[in-house]
Amino acid sequence: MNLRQRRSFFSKRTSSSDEHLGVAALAPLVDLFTLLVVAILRSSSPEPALQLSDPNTDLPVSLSEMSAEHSVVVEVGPDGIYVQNYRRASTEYWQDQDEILIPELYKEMLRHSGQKTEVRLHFELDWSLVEKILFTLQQAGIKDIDLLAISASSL
Amino acid sequence: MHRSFQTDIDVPDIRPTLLSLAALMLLLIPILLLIVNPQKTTYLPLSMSTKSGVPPIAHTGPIEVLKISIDTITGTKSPDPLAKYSMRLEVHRRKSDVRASQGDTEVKIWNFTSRRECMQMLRDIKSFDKARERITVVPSKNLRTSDIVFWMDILRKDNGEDFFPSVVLESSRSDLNLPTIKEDDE
Repeated sequence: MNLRQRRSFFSKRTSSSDEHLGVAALAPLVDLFTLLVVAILRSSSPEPALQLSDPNTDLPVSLSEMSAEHSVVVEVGPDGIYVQNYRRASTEYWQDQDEILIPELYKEMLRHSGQKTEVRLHFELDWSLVEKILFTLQQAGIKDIDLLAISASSL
Repeated sequence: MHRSFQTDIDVPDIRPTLLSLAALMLLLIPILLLIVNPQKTTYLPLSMSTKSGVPPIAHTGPIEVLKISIDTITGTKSPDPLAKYSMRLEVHRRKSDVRASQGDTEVKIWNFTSRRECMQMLRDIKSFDKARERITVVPSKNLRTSDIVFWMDILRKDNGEDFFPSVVLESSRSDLNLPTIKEDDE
């Protein structure tokens, strides 16, 4: 047995399955997974799931990319107007009223005057009600108001 | 000529490394999906201009007032969802002293039914007064929250750059005086 024959005898044999699982097949797989991980991290949030007072509330979608912290939450859903998860007034009633200031909301928000406030508005609310909400908050001394929206890059 | 004492050069096999990386990713993806919240939220600063509480910014550029009134065109069945708005752009341009907070101005008003034309006009105004950051939006009563958010988004950023980052909402109602709050009787 010559040297060449001996070398081939002791060398590792590549099976047909190893040939299929070559570097050329694995590299795109790793790339794909990396892209998936980046996409998941970019389009998701580490914050806990949002819990809305009114289950029928659907938030609007925005292209904005901002984060903020608030101490007071005002939610206006199709059913009612909530402050810190407590129902204060009826949306349907105030939708039709001509008055621009909502007394129930105003009195409650006076207690939180000057605090940063997060407003959660149902995406189908009419501007006529939204302006009443904003006007009432401003009259109660709330200067820093942010509207919560679902990010357009969300999963 | 074949050399009898030539040794084989071992080429390192990177397949195990790649396989372990793929396995790590395969574990990481479901863990991430379990941990993170798929609903990503964001915030939009809201401020409303009223007679009793206007948040002023003293802007001393060539444009004193920049206001856009937005309404919906009812009955439009255009395939373009953006074509359902009608816009009225109002600009107060200072004629004399551009550094004055309030001065002699000329008022120009344009009406648009095309969003693209309106945005082009706003770009022209921005190029004329690059330091201007504020725009006042007057939504009609037909507009909904989603419409307002849409307009705030496109006015705040244009092609990825700050356009008019300070969007102030203004009511078209004239009775924005604070009504008297009746205290509950004991």
